[in-house]
Amino acid sequence: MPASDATLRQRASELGRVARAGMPKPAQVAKVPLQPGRYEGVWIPDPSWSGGVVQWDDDEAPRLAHSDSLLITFGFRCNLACEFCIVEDGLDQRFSGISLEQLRAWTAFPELFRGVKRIILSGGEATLESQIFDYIAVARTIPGVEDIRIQTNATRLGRGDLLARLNDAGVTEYFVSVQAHDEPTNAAITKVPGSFKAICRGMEAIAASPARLVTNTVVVERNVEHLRAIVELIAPYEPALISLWNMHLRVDRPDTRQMQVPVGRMQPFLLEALDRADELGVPSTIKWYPRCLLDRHIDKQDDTQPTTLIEPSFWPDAPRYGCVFHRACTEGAKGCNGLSYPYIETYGWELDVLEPTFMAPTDARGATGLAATGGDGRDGAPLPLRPDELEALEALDDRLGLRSWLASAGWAPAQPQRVGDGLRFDLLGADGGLRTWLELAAADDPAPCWWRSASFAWRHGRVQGHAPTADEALAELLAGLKAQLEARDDGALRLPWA
Amino acid sequence: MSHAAVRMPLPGQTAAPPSEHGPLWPELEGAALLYDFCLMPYAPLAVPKPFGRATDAGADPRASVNVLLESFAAEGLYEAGVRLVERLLLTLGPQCTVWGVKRDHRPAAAGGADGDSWEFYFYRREHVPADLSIELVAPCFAPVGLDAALPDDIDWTFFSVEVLPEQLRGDPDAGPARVTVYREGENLAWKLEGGRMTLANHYTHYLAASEMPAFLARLQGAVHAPRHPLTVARLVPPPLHKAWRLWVASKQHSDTVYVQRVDVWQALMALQRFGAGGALEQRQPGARGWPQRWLDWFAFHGSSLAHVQFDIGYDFERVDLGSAAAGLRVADGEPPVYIRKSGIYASF
Repeated sequence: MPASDATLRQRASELGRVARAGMPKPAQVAKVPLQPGRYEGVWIPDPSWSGGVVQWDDDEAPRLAHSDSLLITFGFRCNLACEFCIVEDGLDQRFSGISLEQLRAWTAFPELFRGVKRIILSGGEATLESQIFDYIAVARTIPGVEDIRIQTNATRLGRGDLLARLNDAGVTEYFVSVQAHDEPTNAAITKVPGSFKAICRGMEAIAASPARLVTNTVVVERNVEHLRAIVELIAPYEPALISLWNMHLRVDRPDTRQMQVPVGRMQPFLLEALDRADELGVPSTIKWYPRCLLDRHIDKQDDTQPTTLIEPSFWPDAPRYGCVFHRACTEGAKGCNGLSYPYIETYGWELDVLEPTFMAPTDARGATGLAATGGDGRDGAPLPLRPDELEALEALDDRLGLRSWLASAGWAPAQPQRVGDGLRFDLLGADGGLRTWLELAAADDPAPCWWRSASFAWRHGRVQGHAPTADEALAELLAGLKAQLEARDDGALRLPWA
Repeated sequence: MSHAAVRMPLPGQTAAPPSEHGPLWPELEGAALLYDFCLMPYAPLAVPKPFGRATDAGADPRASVNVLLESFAAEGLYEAGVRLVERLLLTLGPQCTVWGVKRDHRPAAAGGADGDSWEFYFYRREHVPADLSIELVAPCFAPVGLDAALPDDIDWTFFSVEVLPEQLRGDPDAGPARVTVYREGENLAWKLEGGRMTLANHYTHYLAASEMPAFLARLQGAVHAPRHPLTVARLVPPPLHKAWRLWVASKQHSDTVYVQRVDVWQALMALQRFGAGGALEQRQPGARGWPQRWLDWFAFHGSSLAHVQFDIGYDFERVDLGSAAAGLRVADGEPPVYIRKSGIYASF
């Protein structure tokens, strides 16, 4: 591989942490031990094909997905030319995606698909590809897969027997791109006059079939004022979900087509559309839009995306997201990704528009910043431990010697609590002037942590106190803790509920 | 003990073999803590790992100091840089020295310096030898001279020594290194020439997690920050907003933003934008970016530096100040604000 490609791929992999804004958490699936030589001669996409989100340890069998939905790209031709298309540079088969032979080869190794329940076929307009039936047939053979979804503009599904044949082949869902409420707007966005009627016919046909309909509308300047009308257009087809996406600008940077809508301008139209969906009894979501502007519809924000396997060159240009208030705002901890970088480069940080809800200072402030990589924003209220769990912890502490070591180091642990799948306890400095917390979870817990011992992932809180005294105390605590645990954790230790 | 560094290759080159002694950087030896540009501790972001996958033979984990050493190499001063780093390590021990590499982006016609400069910061912290002083470290900088003396009764937090390429080359006309002294609490820095102190910088810092509104107010109130909706985005571009602390400093000829603790990719993206200009930055005609060879090296080896939290700083200067007196008229729209200088910081 040329060095420049290697650099690009490495970078794409590293950037995945940022690029996967909104991607779901890693699937909680058991590790499968690596069998040396098992995949000899089989190409397994490295993390750069998923934007870095699919990772596996050296001693673990590789995997293809980090979520229960896996999007396989192929084809890359389209009969529409939407002005916001995120793979515009890959169409006309400039991207090739995953070949049928590759997909078929992977099915010989079911562990590659562990955790996957839905296969999504996409790229360009997937129904244009004659091989689509072969992809469906192969996808159907993957153990655990319950749904086959096709991303489509539906223009070919409203006539002839294509829809019926796809359904018969095993397709259970259609994710239909619906960008307008009328023909002129649709033509302006898709650049194909007359396609509006075909899209509507396609939705109608899907609605009349056993398959589920899910729609996708990208909010751009041309359709923002018609979002309510779009909802009203779709609702009679009884979709399982209307999914509105704020513009995810990847190709036309810096927005020479002026498609991005200022979030403040979008807000009333968006809220009106979501209201209308509620009135009509249709589930709806909104993606890549600040939670703080969603008012009564805040719970409809959903930035999750399926694992997408696509050429690595796709990822470096994929928009990343941020908000200057991210770490200060309660919505940041709830999954709000803020604004896209291309948007910020056009409209700035929107300081006068966003409505952040600031966290209480005691939650957010840290004297040292040592916990910048640790345990913030965790879900789940702390639970007191049951007697049997406390007893099991006693046995665990006999092995680790944690309590006695902490006492010798001048820290007093408070009563432990269960938080999610982890164990957390507060720590008070011997003089009572310092306070922090420690948390341990299973070593394969995918969340960021300070350090992984053989059995556990360790996180810690910010120390409350005044720098540099607090810094030094926490530094000593962590260094000593690590030395203590390295000597005693043999890798066979577990939390009571693991 | 030797801290001899092994140069890592550029793209397309074969990795150099490890030296006889090996690089003994603490961050590669499982240190629980690393130190940022305030010499304050942080937990590594990741376990230091070799570039690429394990099968990529010949690539050892690298220490962040290589970023510094490669900047010396870009000026043809690699050996001199290694000597300087080695002497400081031998004098103070590991994790006691903060380093910064700085680039003046101004065109030569606007007074921009040719080449990078390097600044070393020496903090009084508990893990630093108690006898730290200008006199203690001065010999490490030979052949660069230091002409600075601090009265004993001044309680300082750090002093810094800034050296220029011509000084490291031993140019007899280059003069002594610039020395600056800083006091925490007062948040002021003074330039120190001989025994004379001249007020230089005023710093304010804000926790991103809880003090962002105060930071934004301070930044928007800076005289070099034009009142324009895009100014904050220009001065805190998207890749840099995720940090631990944000600083605003008032200096003699510009204001400065410091971003404390960003990962290697944030740092790299920022450096690539400065001078060269990104979507947001207004590029001064003739502005000079960072040396491409150094940026290439940094990008190529970025994965090996995923454990490091770097610090980034950049001076910004609005150029419409005084324009009326100069017979110039600011065009319609936003008064231009240029990145005058930028720097990257870490410690060894």
